[in-house]
Amino acid sequence: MLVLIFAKFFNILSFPDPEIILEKGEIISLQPNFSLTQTFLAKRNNLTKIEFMLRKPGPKDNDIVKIEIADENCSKTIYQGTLEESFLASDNLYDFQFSKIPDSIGKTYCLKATFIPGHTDSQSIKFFMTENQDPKFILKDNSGAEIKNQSLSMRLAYRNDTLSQDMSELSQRISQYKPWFLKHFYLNTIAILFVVLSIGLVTVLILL
Amino acid sequence: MKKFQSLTFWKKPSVILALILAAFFLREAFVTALFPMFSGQDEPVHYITAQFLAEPKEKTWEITKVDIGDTDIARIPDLIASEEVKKTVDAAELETAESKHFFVQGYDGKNESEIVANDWKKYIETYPPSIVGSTVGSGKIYHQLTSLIEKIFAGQNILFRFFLIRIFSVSLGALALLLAYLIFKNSGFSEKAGLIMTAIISFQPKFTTYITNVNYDALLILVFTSFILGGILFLKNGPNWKNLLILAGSLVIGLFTKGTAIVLAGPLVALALFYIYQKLIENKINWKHVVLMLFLVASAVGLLFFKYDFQTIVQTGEEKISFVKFLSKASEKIPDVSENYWGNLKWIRNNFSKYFIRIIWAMEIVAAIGIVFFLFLKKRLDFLPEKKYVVFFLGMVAALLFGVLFSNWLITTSGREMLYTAPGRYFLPNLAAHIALVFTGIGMILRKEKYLECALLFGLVLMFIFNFYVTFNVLIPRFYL
Repeated sequence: MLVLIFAKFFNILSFPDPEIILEKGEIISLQPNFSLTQTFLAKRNNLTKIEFMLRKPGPKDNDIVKIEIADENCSKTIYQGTLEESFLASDNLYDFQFSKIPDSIGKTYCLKATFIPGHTDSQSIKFFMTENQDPKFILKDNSGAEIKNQSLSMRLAYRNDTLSQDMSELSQRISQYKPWFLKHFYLNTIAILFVVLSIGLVTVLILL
Repeated sequence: MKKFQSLTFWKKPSVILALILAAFFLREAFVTALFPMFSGQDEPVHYITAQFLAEPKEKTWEITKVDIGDTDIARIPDLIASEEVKKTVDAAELETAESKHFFVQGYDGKNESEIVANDWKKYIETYPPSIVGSTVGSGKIYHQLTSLIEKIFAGQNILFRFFLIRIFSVSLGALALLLAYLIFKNSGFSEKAGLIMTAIISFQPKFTTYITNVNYDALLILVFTSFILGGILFLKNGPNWKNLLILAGSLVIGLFTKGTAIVLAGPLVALALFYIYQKLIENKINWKHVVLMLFLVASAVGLLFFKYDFQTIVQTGEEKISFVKFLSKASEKIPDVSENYWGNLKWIRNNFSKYFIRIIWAMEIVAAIGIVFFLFLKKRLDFLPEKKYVVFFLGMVAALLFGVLFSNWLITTSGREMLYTAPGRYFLPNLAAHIALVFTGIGMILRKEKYLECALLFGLVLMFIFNFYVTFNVLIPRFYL
């Protein structure tokens, strides 16, 4: 069970862009059997997840929102999968997770979202948008028309090259706005010690 | 020989207890760092109170009085606090709904240097300040102690002081753990069972997350645990200066900590009555004195409760419900309260906490059946506590439960709100008694000490896994990913 807990922890360990606040701006509807596309710029290497804000209710059971990540011309598919509910208990937060793209920094990608309804009466999926004047972020609706100065309310998440770099970044995040004795080296030492001592304690009591 | 000796060393109860406390303290120090500043339950108000009490008695600065009306100030930016608190909240971007900072590269936050500069005013210039209690008087014991930390470390920045106060709360929790071990040891459990139960408490997720807060409940939990220990020692050894000091001291400190401690008066009276009953049986006291004492106790209880109408209450002029119906509605909330009590933080989808809690509930149901057998069967199992201790544990649980329900009922009758439920943390002060009852009940069903030990180890592993799940799969993702 402990292995599963740490496996899950390492699986969800990714770092959303802290400069992006997911906003509930205007709505763009994704109609059944239609697609919308969004180009975007990755700021770091190892892009691994994209988070979206959807208006309630999101996709129902058996509804599928297929997500494809492609090159900036939207021609060559790199990854495809489905939109899933975020691990955070939010009615609005959904994400698409994939194997990390190692050399993603500075590259423009194209995201294509297609709604495949699971019911005959499935309503459209409503994505929130946010104001965005960055020319790298181009949003096109169901008909292919560009929506000016808007992009999907979305946030990119990244990992590092190695797990130890991931743990280092996590340690940095936890250390921020903490006193010196709960930062950096001290925090890492406390964390390692408590895990070791806790496992040791349970082991000793079992063997007693 | 050395290897044998080192193995023997690890089996010493004092060594294992030290390991429990060390693991707890370090784990809690880590959890303290996980919760962003002011994100704990009512933390802003408790911290502002500590800061207020640390101010000089003579207020030599200008104070502006404002009218806050009946507004229930809940948002941190709306709280009336010192410039330091308000600007720290601003700088650390703590008022966002997600309670997540805007992380930057490096170990220092974006505006951390402003906070660390420590040159904002620490005193409150607007009244009434958002504190616990009033501006007149010396405040609660917890706040007085934490205000000492504020005074002693006034030269340090608010991050240092705030998180040091959190560590102080953790220290109170560690002390409560130590006392819990003594409770188990003195009430008749074996050394091994006592250590395992102490370790179980040290992993209880609600206790371990809540004890990291700047909140007077940390002291209340210690006080209740101390009182329970005093009660056990009283029952074990009869009244002596040591256990009477623990009992009376716990009650007094409790009353100066939080009003909830008034419920300790009930078990205290019950202990006195039990002592009298024992003396009666031994023919050592006079019936007339007993009748007089019972009359005095009944009068005191009557005076305390006569003004409350238990027959009917009026609810916003629409529906009348009695105290019994109120209890019935409150009982519907038991599953929610229990989930909260065990530490189900509903921040994560597909939350496995509920599965851990379902297993715990199953154990509690078995334990409840076991307790019923325990109370009505005459034959005692020698690896379980004596009946008097178990009745005392039950009395403590009943007293706190009554106190919480009665308090909710008073709020409901005042018309402020319909309050059928209570946060699970309200019942944490009795955690030691609760755990003792659970494993007494399970022991009664299992009938053999070695089977009870298996159940204890199962409970330990369950609580340990649950704790790590909450730490790594709930808290860290919630605040940092």
